[in-house]
Amino acid sequence: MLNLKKTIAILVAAISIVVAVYAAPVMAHGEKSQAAYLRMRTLLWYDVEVSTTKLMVNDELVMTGKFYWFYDWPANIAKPEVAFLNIGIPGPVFVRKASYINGVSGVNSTRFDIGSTYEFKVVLKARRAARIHMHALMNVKKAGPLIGPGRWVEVTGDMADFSNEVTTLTGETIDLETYGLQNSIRWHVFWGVVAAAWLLYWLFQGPILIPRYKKVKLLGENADDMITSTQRTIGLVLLIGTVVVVTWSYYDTQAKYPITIPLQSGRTNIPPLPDTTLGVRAEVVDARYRVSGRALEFSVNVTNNTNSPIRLGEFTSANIRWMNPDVSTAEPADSHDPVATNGLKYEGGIVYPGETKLLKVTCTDAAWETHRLAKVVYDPDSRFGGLLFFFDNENKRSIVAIGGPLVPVFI
Amino acid sequence: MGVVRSAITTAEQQHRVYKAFDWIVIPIVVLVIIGAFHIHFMLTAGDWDFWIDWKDRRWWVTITPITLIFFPAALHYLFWQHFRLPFGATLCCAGLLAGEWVSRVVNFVGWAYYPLNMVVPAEIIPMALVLDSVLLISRSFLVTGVIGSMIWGLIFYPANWAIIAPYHVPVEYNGNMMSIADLMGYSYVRTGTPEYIRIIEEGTLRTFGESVVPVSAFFAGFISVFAYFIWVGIGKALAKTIWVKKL
Repeated sequence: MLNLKKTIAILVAAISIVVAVYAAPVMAHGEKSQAAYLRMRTLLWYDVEVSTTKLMVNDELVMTGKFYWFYDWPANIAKPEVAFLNIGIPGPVFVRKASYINGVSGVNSTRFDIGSTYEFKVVLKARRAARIHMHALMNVKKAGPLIGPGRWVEVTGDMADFSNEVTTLTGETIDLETYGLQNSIRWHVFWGVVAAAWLLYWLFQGPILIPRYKKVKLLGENADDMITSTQRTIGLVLLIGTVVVVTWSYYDTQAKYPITIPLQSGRTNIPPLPDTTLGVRAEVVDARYRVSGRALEFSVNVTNNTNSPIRLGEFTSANIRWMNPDVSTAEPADSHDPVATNGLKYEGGIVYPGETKLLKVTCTDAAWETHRLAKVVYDPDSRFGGLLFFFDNENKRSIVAIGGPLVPVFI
Repeated sequence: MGVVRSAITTAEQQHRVYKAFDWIVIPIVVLVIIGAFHIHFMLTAGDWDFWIDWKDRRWWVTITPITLIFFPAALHYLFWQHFRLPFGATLCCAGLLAGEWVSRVVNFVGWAYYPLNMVVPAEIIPMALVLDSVLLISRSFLVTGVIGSMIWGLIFYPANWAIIAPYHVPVEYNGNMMSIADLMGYSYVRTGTPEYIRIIEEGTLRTFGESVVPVSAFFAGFISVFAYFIWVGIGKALAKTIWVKKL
């Protein structure tokens, strides 16, 4: 016969062991979990760099890069009418010292133009020891976080050495780590003691539950007689005392801090960067995703309105880069940086100034599967998007956004 | 058939049993209140109470007293009607604060490493003391609901000003004027809580100039009056003594 207690004990033990053995630190921020069409056709990040990947507590790290708001924005995703440049890190491993979008301070949320490019810079100061995968990140109201490329960063040192000092407009230099804490605790302790005294006064009236319950039922409508005049006097003292202390504390605080402002909730408007295409146009003629070959194949009509011949060197989408090493090279920054170093091939060669040419491009890599981009063919909006990087003889780049319907090839 | 006899035969034994009952039941009640009230308050006032840069003059002042009065009102009924004990509100609010402090220290500081001064909970004890003392003095739910609940809403902001005022001192940062609270919200990165998600300083009280707090506080008190009676009613419904005739 089944022994219930024993079975439960074994189950609990088994689950505990499985969880204990399997449980591992969270290594990333779910960057692969968002739908492929969302990652390919919302915010396209590029040139993202961090100034260092190893630093001590109190050292600074600067993250820079650019982002392009894709022109063919998915209809079911909210547009960036209100957005905030953020950083994807597990809690405040860093404090943000400054952030800029096109040189404008990013302390406030802002709106962005679809089809435009912006550059950003975030200055961070290391606060505690940790090894983290940090991301550039854009929070978009009603759309959620749009995650940029990640980098592994290691902070060493002791958090106790960290300080975060600022000087107020009233001339006081404060450390944000501890500012005002003693005062807050003092007030909470004060009121906590009063509350405890009030509760203990009633609890120490003897056994209170059963005797008082019985008495209330016994006295019926006269149960209020259980409250003595002394107790009502105590209540009056408590009422007046509470109001007096609150009033005094308010005016005393006003005197201590005569200059205060409300929380700030403004918005900024930031104009975009100039056109990054530099006169190059590209229009997708057709596009297919070859499931078995893990390859995106597309034909694109390219018109070169610059003064130099150009060649295709890179395609990037969803933070993955497919490189054409004959034109441009890049290596992964770390173990989680998806760069297909030899992933892009194309037919059509050089596009000369004034010429319009059909290029047949193939982007192949396991990243289509490992980064769940191949799922785009199962998305509710099966269109793809990305950035093409054309290079002239002097390595000057023309960056052109492309996109369109994507047809899967299953066989 | 045997005669059923009580195991308690003396007054001393009865006293001991009553005391033991208190010792068993009161801690359980306190823990249940802390847990239930904590969940309720975090789901309704959550971020406004978590973060120093959410404690504004309009929404925080309005939301907190209204959502906070639910449990104190229900427990007022239970403890006053059945025990003539006027500490329902203080028990609720002190329990909630105890739970909040544990959560802030263990979760927000211990796990997530936010500085404690950024996540200090709002001070709510003075409001509870007022509500309890009005009930004790008046011995009336009606008076407590009308007068006590109004004061409950009105004194929330002044009772907290001593704690939050230092964080409203202005600072110049990268060419912007911010309050220290804003700066803390900006500095200590919250990946899932971007700046725009704060519901602060939004509304149509612009015609009141800088004096929006009294209007918000009065409105909070006004709604608290109604909320008090609704929740006294809920307390009444849930605190019925029913004899179970058959198991």
